Amino acid sequence: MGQSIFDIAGSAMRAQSLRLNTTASNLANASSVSGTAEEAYRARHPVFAAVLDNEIGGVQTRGIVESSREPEMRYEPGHPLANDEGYIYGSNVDNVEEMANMMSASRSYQSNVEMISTVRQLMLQTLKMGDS
Amino acid sequence: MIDDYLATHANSIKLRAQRTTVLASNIANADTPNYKARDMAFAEVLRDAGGASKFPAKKISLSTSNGSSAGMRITNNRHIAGYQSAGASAPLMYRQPDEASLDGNTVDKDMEQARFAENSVRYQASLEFIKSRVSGLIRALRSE
Repeated sequence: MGQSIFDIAGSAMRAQSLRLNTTASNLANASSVSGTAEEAYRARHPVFAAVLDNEIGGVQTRGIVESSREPEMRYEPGHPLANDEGYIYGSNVDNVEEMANMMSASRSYQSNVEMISTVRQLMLQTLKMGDS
Repeated sequence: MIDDYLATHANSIKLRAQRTTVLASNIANADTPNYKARDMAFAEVLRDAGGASKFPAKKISLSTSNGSSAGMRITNNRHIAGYQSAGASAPLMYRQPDEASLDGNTVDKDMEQARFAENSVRYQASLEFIKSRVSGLIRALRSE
């Protein structure tokens, strides 16, 4: 029982807010285009892992991985970024997936905030046990 | 003995606080792949810790993660049913998931939140019981 609840909930809040940040970045870049497939924006997602294996504790982020989906290729010869064949490459962000991610992340964040406020109240009550 | 007078709720409060950490960990890891939800068998752990000191401490075998189990065994009927205070390591068990999830996570967020709420209400209840017992004791001691 190494970690306190504040550490645990705090780590979860950090992880979820990182997830919200990557989602915001993905949605913001959903319609960015580029001239080559390599430069196209790829959706990024954090990978969560438990801090301690087989033990209770908080969450850590192992890293951020880029989605491997193929970027969308469009034929737009008039576009200033179009390559020699007249193609541009859009991002591989899936808007629906990102919206679902956003809702899930904000809900998880909320649960952790509520958890902290509940525990805070309990601790205050325990501190005041001797009174009255 | 004042220990006996407060024992049940003192132990209960200690275990409730531990369980809060366990449930907090479950909720915090609700989106972590391969995380397995944990919990303790509260009634058994409390009984093992001698929380219900009116009854003889019965040895209950739990399928713990490390194979050990808390509590003292009575091997002779002249043994006093002692109780140990709720130890630092209440045995944790894995929750049986209601439905399988693709990423190997067994946390049911809604259920965990309900349990968290229940646990904190019961913590408060024990706190109130201790409060009223202490104030009752003080009233009895005063020569008014």
